[in-house]
Amino acid sequence: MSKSRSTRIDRLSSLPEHVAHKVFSSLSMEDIFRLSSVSRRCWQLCISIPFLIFDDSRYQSSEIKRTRLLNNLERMLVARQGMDTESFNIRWSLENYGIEEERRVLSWLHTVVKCNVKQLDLDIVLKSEAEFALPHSLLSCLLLESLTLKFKNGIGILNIPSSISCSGFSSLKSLELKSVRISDSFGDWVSSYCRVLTKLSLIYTKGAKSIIITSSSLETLKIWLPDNLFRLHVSGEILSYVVLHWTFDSFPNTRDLQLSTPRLEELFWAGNFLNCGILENYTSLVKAHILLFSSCSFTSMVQYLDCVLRLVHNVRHLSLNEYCLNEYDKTKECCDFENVPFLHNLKSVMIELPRQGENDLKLINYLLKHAENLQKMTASYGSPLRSDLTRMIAGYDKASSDAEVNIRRVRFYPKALRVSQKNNNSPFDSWELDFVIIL
Amino acid sequence: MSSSSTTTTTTRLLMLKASDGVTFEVEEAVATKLGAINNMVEEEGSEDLICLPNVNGKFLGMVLEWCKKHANNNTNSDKGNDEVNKWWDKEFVMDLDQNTLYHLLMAADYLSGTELVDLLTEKVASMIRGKKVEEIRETFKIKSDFLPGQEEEIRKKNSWAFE
Repeated sequence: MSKSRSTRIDRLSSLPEHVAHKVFSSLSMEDIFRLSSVSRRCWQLCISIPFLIFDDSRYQSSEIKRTRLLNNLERMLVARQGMDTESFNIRWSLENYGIEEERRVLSWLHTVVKCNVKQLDLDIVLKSEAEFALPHSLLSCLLLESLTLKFKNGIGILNIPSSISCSGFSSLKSLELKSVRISDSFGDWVSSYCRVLTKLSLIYTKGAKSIIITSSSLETLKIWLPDNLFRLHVSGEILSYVVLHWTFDSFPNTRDLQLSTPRLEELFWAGNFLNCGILENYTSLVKAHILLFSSCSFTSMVQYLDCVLRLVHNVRHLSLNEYCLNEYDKTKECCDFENVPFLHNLKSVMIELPRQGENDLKLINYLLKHAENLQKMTASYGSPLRSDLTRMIAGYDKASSDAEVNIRRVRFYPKALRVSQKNNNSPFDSWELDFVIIL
Repeated sequence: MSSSSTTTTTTRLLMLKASDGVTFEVEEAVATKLGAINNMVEEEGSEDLICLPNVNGKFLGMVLEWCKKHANNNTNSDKGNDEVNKWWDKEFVMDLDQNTLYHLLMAADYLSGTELVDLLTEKVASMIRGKKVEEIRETFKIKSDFLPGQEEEIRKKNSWAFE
């Protein structure tokens, strides 16, 4: 370090507040606590940090240290005296520490919603089957732009008053709920009060039998394994990306899916097939990932697959997974895919071959023969490769001489995350992971 | 006193003047790495002499040196460029004394050089991270200005748990 005269000036304390906060943004809370004991100026800079992270992940084992952490965090919150808070991030486990800490988390939320918070991120581990009621005051955060509420083990409860007097959430752009109980009024509330919402993600939500959303701002929608949902109507003028994973045991005609999304570009659809016939006219749909399994309303699997292909007839990039083909293969019928209209647009195909059966090969043969603009086909297999498969596929006629065919073995990382369709309790998030790897 | 960068005939040159009168002639692509300059050029073109009264020649020179490296390395879109930039950044901040670091950071903030601010704030953060209270004071030559008893109280409640 230089010994020049100027280094005697305290350069840290003389930084303007916004620059000092920038420096602090990459420090841990522990670093911040230490720093706050350095000088009065440092203390003042520390307590005015506009982004707070309350994270207990390193304080699970020692109760004494945990108590100190809590005291420090709360002292800081008190010292701030309602200063504006840009972002507030709580990652906390209530699994081993019961009602007392739950109250404290709630009081943090009460405090911070009064501080013009823009981004609130809550990631709570509960005791098994426990419930966590989110405070009503959350719904009155006028400046909130991003809200994430995630729960593990138990569920969070977001009560939306049926007649909403508050004008909250008028700035909300992103809403993500995971394992949260909502009600049938959720859809109305989103439609009426979240007028600038662009991203909505509902993962393992409970409580709503019907979700009806009309939004002119929504661009991305993800609905992942909703519990006991019967009706889903979504109408979005500029909705372009939809992820829908909806499975159920009962007959599909008790379920009602309507998507009115003229600008849909990419669709990921997994779960039970619902013959909603809604996608046929979608000219902007470019990519479709179809992971559907059949339902009993179809007389034959051929009819089923034909229907799936018709639904997405405009797509340029198509992925079909083994659940489609598995079922299809079982029928042992010889199928004709005559007059399937989507082939002209098709540029890339991703196809899974769990069995490498005759019907899989017929489908590949058909696609190669008729998809005149096909550039790339990737066939992936999990089981040992049939010795003659590569040779057979290479021998097929191709309508597009440029079409490149890749045959790849599928490997999963980590292996344990390989998901079974039948098990609803498995970590379904890994479905996406699997998918990425396959692609 | 004036320093100028070599240039080809096709690129436009901007003229920047620091608080002490030192002027720099730099390629537009280099100077517009700085948000403040970029805005001025977009608004009013690149013809005028741009005066920067809040930064002196020494530090403006250093900021522009950084911009030049990054602008040049960005033009060839090789994959290795990220690595080159990182390596160069590391060298750039390695031996900075605190006085220079402070003035550079103030200059980068003043000129809205976002990437450079990130680099320099991270350097400062690395001087704080994991350190005890006394070590932080030592590093930055900070004198405790707590009232008698106040510091004792704060320590008792606060940092001792984390030391």
